[in-house]
Amino acid sequence: MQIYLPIAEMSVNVFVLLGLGGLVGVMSGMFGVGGGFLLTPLLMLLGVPSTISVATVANQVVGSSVSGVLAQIRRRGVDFRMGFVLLVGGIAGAALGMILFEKLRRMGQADLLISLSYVVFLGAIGSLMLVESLKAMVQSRKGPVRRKLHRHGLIHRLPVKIRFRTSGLYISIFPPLLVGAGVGVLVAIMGVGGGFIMVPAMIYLLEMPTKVVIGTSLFQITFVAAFTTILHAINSQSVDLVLAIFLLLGGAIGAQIGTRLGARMPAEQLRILLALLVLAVCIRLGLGLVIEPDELYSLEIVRGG
Amino acid sequence: MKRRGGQRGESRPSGATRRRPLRGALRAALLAGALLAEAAGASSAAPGSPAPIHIASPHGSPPPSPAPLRLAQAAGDGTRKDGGGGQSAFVSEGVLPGGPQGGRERIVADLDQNRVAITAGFDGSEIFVFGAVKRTGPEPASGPLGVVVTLIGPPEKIVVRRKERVKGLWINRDSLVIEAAPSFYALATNGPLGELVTAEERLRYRIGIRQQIFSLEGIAKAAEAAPFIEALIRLQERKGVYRLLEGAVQLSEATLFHARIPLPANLTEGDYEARIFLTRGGQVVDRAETVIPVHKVGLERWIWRLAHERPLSYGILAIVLAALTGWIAATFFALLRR
Repeated sequence: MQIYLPIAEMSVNVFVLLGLGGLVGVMSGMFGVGGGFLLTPLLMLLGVPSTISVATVANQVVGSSVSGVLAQIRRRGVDFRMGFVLLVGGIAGAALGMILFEKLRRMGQADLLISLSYVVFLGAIGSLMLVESLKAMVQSRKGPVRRKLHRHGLIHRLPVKIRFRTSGLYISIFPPLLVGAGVGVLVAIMGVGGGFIMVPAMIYLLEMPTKVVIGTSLFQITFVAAFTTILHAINSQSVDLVLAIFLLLGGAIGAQIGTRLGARMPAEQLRILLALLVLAVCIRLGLGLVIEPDELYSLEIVRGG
Repeated sequence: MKRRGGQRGESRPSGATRRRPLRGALRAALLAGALLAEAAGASSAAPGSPAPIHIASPHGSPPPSPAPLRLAQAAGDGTRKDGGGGQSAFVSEGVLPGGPQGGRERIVADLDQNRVAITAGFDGSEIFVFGAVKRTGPEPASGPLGVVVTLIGPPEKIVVRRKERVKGLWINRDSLVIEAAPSFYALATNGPLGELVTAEERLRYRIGIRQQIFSLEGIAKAAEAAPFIEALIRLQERKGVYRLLEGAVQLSEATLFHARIPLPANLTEGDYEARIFLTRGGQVVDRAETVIPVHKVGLERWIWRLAHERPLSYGILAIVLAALTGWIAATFFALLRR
């Protein structure tokens, strides 16, 4: 059964879309990440133009995180004050990322920007996660090591401190603003939710308690992704609503399977698996930049031109 | 060249599309039958085969002559989206005098559908072109008869980029801006193109994909632009939007012809120009053309228009719909699990 995507102007099999959404849903159910970092490259592989992939995945992220946010709010897993600070940073970052994206798109380097960002970020996060979880595995065999409750580094010497009650933090407003902005840039240029950057940054950089990390990051991601969707819709008319809805439907089914699979596996092994997956996508994209491509030429249809 | 540029998002049903639909088979048969009868009466060159009788009855018993049957069956397979009216959609130019010997030869042709609607389930289509050669005298002996059918999609501005190795990375460097290249181009003939039309005639009537590509910007020198244009054609052929269909035109008894031109699913909206060239000994002796509008309809059209005319509303709608879909799906599965 084929469906014609009105914005991408192409006809795609419905089951391919549902499957793709489902695969990403399985991932998000298993690992608790959005899976946007897989979805954008996969859509591009399917032949969806890169700008439409990025914009549509931003829209898909809104839908896939909204129910999570609601659930987290009910569980009091959202630090709203932190969420708002991150959101302000995120919106500024998304606007900045958008300008960068548009500029490079005009220069014909959007694909390079997208690939390079993926390689750099996935590479960094993947290796960090791998090292971290391997260490944790070794440590859990040796027995627990006590961590210092408060470390006083550069972050604690910055001005404009704010008390984040839910997180039990009294820190400067700048680190969360910067973290939010960084993620905002990523949403705009990579079409990802940015959870895979946000969560480690919240844990290791801001030292937030784990119980509010997921909820707060989801809260910020939902709104930043919504903002980005509107920016893409206005700037390049590249949000494909039909595509996003089919991806979401597939994703909802996949998430159910993923949650069950995830519940059966030990957390440490899951993290190693996720780290390896992230690294695999990174290497695949990296090779594409280094190895001489079969086809040196590419076409870009100038729409509305 | 008339009416260039995509008429996106604008309702523009031509007079032709409003005409009452009629079964393609019946029309094909009536047209072909009438023409053959006329041709047979007017010229000794027209075959005296019993073909017209058989085509005139589209659902009749199998006739002995296979070619006209194929015509009748092909047009009558009932999948056509839209029928036309009583007269030919093609406008014959009739500008060209006939060969030195013999009378004039003219094209009378029609299509099985005079517009293409892109619906939500659109999965490509097919244009069936059929017609006949009308002669006012005996068949000229000046070389072989050629029928060339081209279907040209609305032009697009395309940037062709070439990757180069820079510091170990393959990145886009040189580019060529192609001001106008057809978004779709199909060329169907009844034999090898080179034997049917001379190079000069191809240039004059812009028959062939290279004659349809116009570049102004980028690399000025033609020699440097050539690989980019080659790449454009290669990539578009791979996408299935440029195709050379030599031998796809079935010509029977030097009079009746028909061709099927497949349309891919990734069609660009706009006006598609169908042109038929009749050639004799490499020279174009007549041409006819018509326009087939290709447009999104229904929901597809509504979404496209909203996205382009009211992007802010579209963006908000996209967010709300995505949030609702995500939320409803999650709630549904949560209930299911209980």
